[in-house]
Amino acid sequence: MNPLHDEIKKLIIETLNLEGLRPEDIETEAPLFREGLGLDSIDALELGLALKNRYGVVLAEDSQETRRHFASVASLAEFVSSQKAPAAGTAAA
Amino acid sequence: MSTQPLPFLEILNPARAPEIPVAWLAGTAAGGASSFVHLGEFRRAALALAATLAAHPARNWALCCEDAALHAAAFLAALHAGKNIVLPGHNRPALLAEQHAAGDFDALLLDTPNTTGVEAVPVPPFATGDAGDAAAGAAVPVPDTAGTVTFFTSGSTGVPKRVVKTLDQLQIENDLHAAHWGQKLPGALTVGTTAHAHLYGLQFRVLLPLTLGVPFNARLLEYHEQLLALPAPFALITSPAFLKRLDAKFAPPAPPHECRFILSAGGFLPPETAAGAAKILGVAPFEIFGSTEAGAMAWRDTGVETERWRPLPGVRCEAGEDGRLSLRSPFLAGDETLVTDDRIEFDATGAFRLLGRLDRVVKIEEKRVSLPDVEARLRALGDLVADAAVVPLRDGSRTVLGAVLALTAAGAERRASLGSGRFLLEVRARLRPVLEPVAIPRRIRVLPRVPETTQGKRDTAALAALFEPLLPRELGVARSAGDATGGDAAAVTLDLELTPDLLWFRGHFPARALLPGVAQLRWAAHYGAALLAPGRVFAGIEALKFQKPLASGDRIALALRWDAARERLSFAYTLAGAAVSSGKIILRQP
Repeated sequence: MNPLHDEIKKLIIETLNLEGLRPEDIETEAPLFREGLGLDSIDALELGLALKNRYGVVLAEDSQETRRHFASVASLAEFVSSQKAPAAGTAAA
Repeated sequence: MSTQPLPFLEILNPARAPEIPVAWLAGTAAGGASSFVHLGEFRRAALALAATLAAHPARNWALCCEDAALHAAAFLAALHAGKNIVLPGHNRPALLAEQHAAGDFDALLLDTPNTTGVEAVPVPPFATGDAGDAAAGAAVPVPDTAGTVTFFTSGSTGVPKRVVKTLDQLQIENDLHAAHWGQKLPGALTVGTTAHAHLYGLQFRVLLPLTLGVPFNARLLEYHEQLLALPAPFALITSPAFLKRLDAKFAPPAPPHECRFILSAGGFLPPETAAGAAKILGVAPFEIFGSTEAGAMAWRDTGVETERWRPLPGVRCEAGEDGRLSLRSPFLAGDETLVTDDRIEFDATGAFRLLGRLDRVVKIEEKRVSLPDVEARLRALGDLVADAAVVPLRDGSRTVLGAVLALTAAGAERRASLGSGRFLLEVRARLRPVLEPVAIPRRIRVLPRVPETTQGKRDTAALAALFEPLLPRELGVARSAGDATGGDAAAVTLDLELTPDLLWFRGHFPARALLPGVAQLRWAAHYGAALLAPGRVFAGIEALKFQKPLASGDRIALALRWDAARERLSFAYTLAGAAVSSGKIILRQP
């Protein structure tokens, strides 16, 4: 079990207030939008802000790329860890 | 650039140079460069499609393109082919099939693969590169009769409401907007965060730029970051949902890519959001108050006014006895007076304040959501749901829907086997094909039957109270099974937060809401049974001591210790290490 996956699932449940949901209810590879959790564009904005606040990640200007990162818990975790190392200096803001 | 707006049916005429940029396509996933679609390419695509449509017998065409530039080309093509345009306002295959079967339209125009089972004509991507000499000379067909444009919006009865506009009505409103706002657009790229399949997005993201000859962004803008990567100064067509979620970390976009103009519509922009947007983007948003039926009614510049609305030129608003707004405007059909469900109050200067709505339609993130519709969709899940009532709930700064459900026997079984979290996901998944995402309930309460008042009515406040939490927020659980002292004992410690929305804080001293002792007892029994003694229920108190009151907002620790042999649960609440209460209760098999 990847601890970052669990952390991101908790962040999703907290941020979006999906009541009664436990981290293990969210499948790591399942799509977050449309099918899967069925999140909407407002959720995407809220989740984006929460990720930026928690991990200091920087979202791409390219919406297609951002969409790929937001596809699933697994892809979000990859995105967060890919930014963690090199972004240590710039994420301080 | 001084620009005279062109009528819709003259945009394809070769009056303007083919090199004029029409739409901007941001770089794609493949890493492709961003590019502009020019009028020549746009004209060629629209005329080719118009020829296809003219030869097709279907009369009513549902327009469902994701790309706003293709949407615009298909829109003009259908008009020139003398067809009627239907804007379902969504892209959900199952719902489109349902609407087709109901006769809302005959065929589809799509720029995505067709999975609806309904006949569709594809709208192909623009062939760029050749600025379109061929098209310049091509004959532009003139329709015998002008088509109509049909919009769908949530009606208060639960059935999506159809709003039909003639081309004239749209043209008159467009010309009014061109006169009122048009000078703010030239020299800027129009970008938008609101769907082009609804009236506001169609008018301001697509039609107004087209008629003024200024370029628009073909893709929906989704994140603040994208505003910082635009190729030119921009005008932002948006809504409160987006402006509320700007990221204050970013500096305002600076010349030569500055924000020139912000227009917000779809819902009320809170003054602090308007001020925040002005600070973060560098200009104060303008706001429009309108509806699909009425079009734009009133406006304001949030830089100087965030309370009152001023009717747009030519729009005559009146307040009825109950404050109900009715209006006449040059872009309503004939001499019609449109009666709305909004309540307003005029001041002496002819401006008005909005007081609220008079029906069961709620606005969630600018989307009008009909509560009866959501209830009907829930009841349609007949294998699971016997009855349903839906209430809007505040959740922080957003509104979400809560569903009070009575389940069928099979539904109750399903919920027991899945657990409440996965059951919620299943219900949401099954509503997704037929409801807007924001209209899908996020919270569920299950009762043997949906409560009604003695008059057989539903009491919204009573239903909403069902969603107020009885349990504190769990911040963490630490388990220490079989510790050194007690062979048969197990223990856990929970970190809990007393959120202000807890039902327990209702009716207590409002200045400093205190947690009643009975709540502490119930929580001890609840967590004891859930974590240490499955299946057992509260059966009595053996010892109890209260030492210190707890207030809303407190973060506390609850230590529980279960002695299975003696069927006793010991509990101790502490606040920052100080004892709050402690005791011992009996938990038995029911």
